[in-house]
Amino acid sequence: MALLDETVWDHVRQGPVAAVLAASALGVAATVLGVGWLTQPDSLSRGFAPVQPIPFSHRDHAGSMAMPCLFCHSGAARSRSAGIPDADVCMGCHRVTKTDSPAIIKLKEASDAGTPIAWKRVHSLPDHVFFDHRPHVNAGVACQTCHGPIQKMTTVRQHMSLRMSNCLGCHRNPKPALPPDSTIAKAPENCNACHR
Amino acid sequence: MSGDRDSRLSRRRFLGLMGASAALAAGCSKPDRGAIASNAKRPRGSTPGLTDSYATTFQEGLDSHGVLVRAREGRPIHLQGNDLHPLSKGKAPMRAIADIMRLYDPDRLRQPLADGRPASWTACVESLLSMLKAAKQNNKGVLLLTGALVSPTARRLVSDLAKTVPGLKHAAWEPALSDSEASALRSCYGSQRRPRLKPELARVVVALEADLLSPDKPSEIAGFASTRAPGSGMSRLYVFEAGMSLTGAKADHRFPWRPSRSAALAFGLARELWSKGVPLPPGFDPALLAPFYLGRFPSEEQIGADILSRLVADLKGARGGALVVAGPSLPAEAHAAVFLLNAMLGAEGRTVDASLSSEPETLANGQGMRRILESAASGAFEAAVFWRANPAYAFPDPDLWQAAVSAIPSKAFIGMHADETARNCGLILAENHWLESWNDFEPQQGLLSLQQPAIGRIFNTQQGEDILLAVLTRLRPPMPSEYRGYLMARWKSSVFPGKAAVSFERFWNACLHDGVFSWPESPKPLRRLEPKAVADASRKACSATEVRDRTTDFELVLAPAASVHDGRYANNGWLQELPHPMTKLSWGNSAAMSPADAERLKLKDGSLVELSINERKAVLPVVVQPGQAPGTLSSCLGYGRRSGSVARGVGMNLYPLLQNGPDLVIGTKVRPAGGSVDLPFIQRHHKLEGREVVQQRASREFLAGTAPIHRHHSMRLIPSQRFQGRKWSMAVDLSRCVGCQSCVLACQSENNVPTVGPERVLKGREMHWIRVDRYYEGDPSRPSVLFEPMFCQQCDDAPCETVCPVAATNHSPEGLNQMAYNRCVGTRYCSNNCPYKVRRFNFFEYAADAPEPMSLAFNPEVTVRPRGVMEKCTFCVQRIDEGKALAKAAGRALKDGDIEPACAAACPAGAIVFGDLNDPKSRVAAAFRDKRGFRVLEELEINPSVTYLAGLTNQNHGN
Repeated sequence: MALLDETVWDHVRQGPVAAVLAASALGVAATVLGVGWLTQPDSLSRGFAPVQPIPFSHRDHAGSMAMPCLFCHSGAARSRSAGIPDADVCMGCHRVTKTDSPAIIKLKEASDAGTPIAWKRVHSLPDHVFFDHRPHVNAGVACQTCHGPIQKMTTVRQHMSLRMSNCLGCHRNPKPALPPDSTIAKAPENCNACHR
Repeated sequence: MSGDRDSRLSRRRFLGLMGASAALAAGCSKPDRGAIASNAKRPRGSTPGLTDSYATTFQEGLDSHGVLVRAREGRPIHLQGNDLHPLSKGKAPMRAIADIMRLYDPDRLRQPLADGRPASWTACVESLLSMLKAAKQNNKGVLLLTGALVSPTARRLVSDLAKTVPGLKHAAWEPALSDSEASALRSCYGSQRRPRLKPELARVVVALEADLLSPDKPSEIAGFASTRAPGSGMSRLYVFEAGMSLTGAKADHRFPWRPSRSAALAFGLARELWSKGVPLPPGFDPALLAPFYLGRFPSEEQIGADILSRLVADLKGARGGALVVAGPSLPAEAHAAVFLLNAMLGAEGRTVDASLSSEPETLANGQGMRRILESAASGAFEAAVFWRANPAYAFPDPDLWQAAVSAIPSKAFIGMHADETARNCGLILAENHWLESWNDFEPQQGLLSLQQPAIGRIFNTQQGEDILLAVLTRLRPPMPSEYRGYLMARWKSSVFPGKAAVSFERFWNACLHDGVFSWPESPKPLRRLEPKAVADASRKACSATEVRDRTTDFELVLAPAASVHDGRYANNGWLQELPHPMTKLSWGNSAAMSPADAERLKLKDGSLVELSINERKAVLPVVVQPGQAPGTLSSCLGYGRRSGSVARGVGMNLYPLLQNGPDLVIGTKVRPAGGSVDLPFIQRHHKLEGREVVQQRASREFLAGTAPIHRHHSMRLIPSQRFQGRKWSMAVDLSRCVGCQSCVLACQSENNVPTVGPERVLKGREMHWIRVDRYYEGDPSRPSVLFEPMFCQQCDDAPCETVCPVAATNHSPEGLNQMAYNRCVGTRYCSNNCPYKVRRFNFFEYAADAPEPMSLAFNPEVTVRPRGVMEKCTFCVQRIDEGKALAKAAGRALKDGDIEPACAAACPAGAIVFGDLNDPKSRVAAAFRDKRGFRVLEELEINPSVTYLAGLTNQNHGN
């Protein structure tokens, strides 16, 4: 307080300045907390459904036609990333199916030219999180446990919030997510399980 | 913790809210998480998220090594040895591991330049053709100066070119390779075939100024290490050398020795062996040995009177299992004397084996390069092409180089960097890194090793061979358009076995997969050692220059640096920051001086001295090196570059002090230059102060039980941690470890460890997760040296964990001291409380500040740490996780050896063993039971997970 002149300090304490200061402090706090509450990671991330360059429908493929997830996302059982199928996998069927649809024409062009399709990322984890699909898929956790009713989604949207508490909730009590005959009672909870 | 979880506005929640509001304040844009570009056509066998391995070959000088490139999503991120390569046996030389950084060097040439402006490749080839045409019109020559060309296909390409361009003069030059061994081989055996050294078969090894255990020779380190197990078969190593080398540090008997007397010593040993009844090879006259008398050395060199006779007895007793090696800085006569010794001891064809060596090309070293530049200065050449050669930096006589280069009208340069030589050239052709190139090598007869690209070209570059081939195609059309095709054509016609049951394509793919192709080749008969040549050498050794005044004239030994080699790697920050293995000096070179000379001249670490020889001068700092022979100085080449954003101005260029090549420089004058500099040492304390943090024992006493390993036993009040399931542990065998620091670089590459630069090393802020501690014991003039690789000891009761205020470091159920970077707030309490000083703090945004494309080198399995967090060795937890996941996905149990941390995989000596201590059958559990085992600072009761096995020495006590 030595820096403030005594009289100035008194003036601040008594005059209308005090009321203004208090009101603006309250206002700032309310804004910070209010905006924070509305924009916390949960509310931002869940339901995120970007428009994809090709309107691929999981409802048609995984739902109506009941194609197994691993048919296209073949990395999920043996690699940390599930992987996005290359255009040639799509073209396996679409060389003869729905060839006149504008989306398939676009797909065929990409496949013929060898240019990658820039799919919009839906699920994104921070860089210090090392999620591995392999142990989850191989333990029998259904894809829908985290990805939601994907077989009903025309456009993929993020179903689960990717917060650490969601990971840990299941790691502490994995039974509900596992097949009934699974012998796994607990999943690792130590830091190195996901962070390194 | 439960209170934390239950409270409504927990600390975590509060921070989350604050973070989110900050994010909102930063910008209310529509969220976008980027794109995932899927392959249009996925490469067969490659899965995103899994590591692909490709076999290829690393070449440097006359040597080539089989390596495996670990690549993620098409980016090479790590190198290790190729275990299918019969000579490399899974171990890569240190500089190969580091050279992945040169691939992503931001200073690389990114496109071809003509007169400083970007040019198209077609235009460049046209310019090259017009250079050749001009030479033909003016009836002058064209100089093609290259580094050593060891690839048989590249050599054929150059000879094809020479046949088509009559005036082409090709010379291969390696500035840091000595010519003395090659010239001794030529005169004594009539062939330059370099023998392969096999220390694994040797019981007694004598090294004269030879660094047998330098990290460029992983197979020799592995061979030597395999003979260091305790017992009667343990080898014995005698070293006579000026400066302290890694070999000298591991020696059982080391003699500080002036290199000018090495030839006399070797001939003296031969005479003594002959007088003890070891016959000379047929055709030799014993009179040639008459002038050499070992008895003069004990008094002149102050060594024990009988140790030399015990050495002779040892050699005689080990006939057939003896190995004598002379180093590159010794003159040819010393090499001839060593050939004679090896012939007498029956080492030829056994421990020194040239039966499968191929004939290397003759390098223009020694006087050859001088003659070429002299003829260039007299106007013999119309044009010159410099390819992987940098004479503007490394040729010892800058005046002659200037005269030569200004007398050549048009000059082209092929290389990766706009270096000193490129500045003299109008046409600068950007070259591929070897990880983007095709080639083949013949490390020995009956063995071919392939080089294949592990990544597409990052920049608009071409492989040097492709540029020459483009020229050749224009001059002599029926040629494959790419060097790959040229290579395959040669393999199809001269390598592919005609009667093979498979198609060439399948054969080729199999060779690419393995990286090597070998076939049985009958060993060539030994060539006879030429008595006359050895007699000439002995006369030369008699009249060898001796230093007259030992107070002012020094013998200077210059060798290529272990890290930056001859200077070609000087722009690699990893190698610049890697300390010298003995002086522990990073970022620069120094003159190593004996403690006695330093005291006499009143010099200490960092004092500047001026070295001068024949009017050529260099000023550099002194490092007082225990064990350095009085009257000698040792230093390294490869520093003092004038180009490259990392290399420029680091250290001093000592090439100008050389006479003809990196031979010994006798008669170097040393004068204190006044002043001193603060040197960026990685280690500043060199004594153990009586504390047994590193232990070494004489093998005989240890086996007899008279010198047991010191272990600390105390009573514990609190029971120590117990681990159910797995318990990861490591054992380091100090008897095998040679202190080469390959582990340091492998760790740096695997774990995204940044370099910090000399200023911050001076502040003790280096970031290496492993350091190889080096201690001296005993008399500083003849010390014994102890190495100890030091990294996080993963203590069961870790002192760092208890002081972390945010629990960012804590223990995993498998015994790892884990570090959660995202929790760390950077208080550095853990580092203060770590007794091993292995925790490293990120003071700056090293990773974010690194220029592109360096980020491509990052391992995606390891967090790239930001500023303000603490980091340390994790036992390569990413490899542990990967090993477990791969075993689980394959439906099998994890077995011992499945998981190898980067340091263990890189260690050429096989000194590091990693595994599950709870598995009694694992190698690490066996090492923990070894009687040599001790743990560092065991008395602190923090239970480190690393056991060191004490180093053993095998001195000769004469009975």
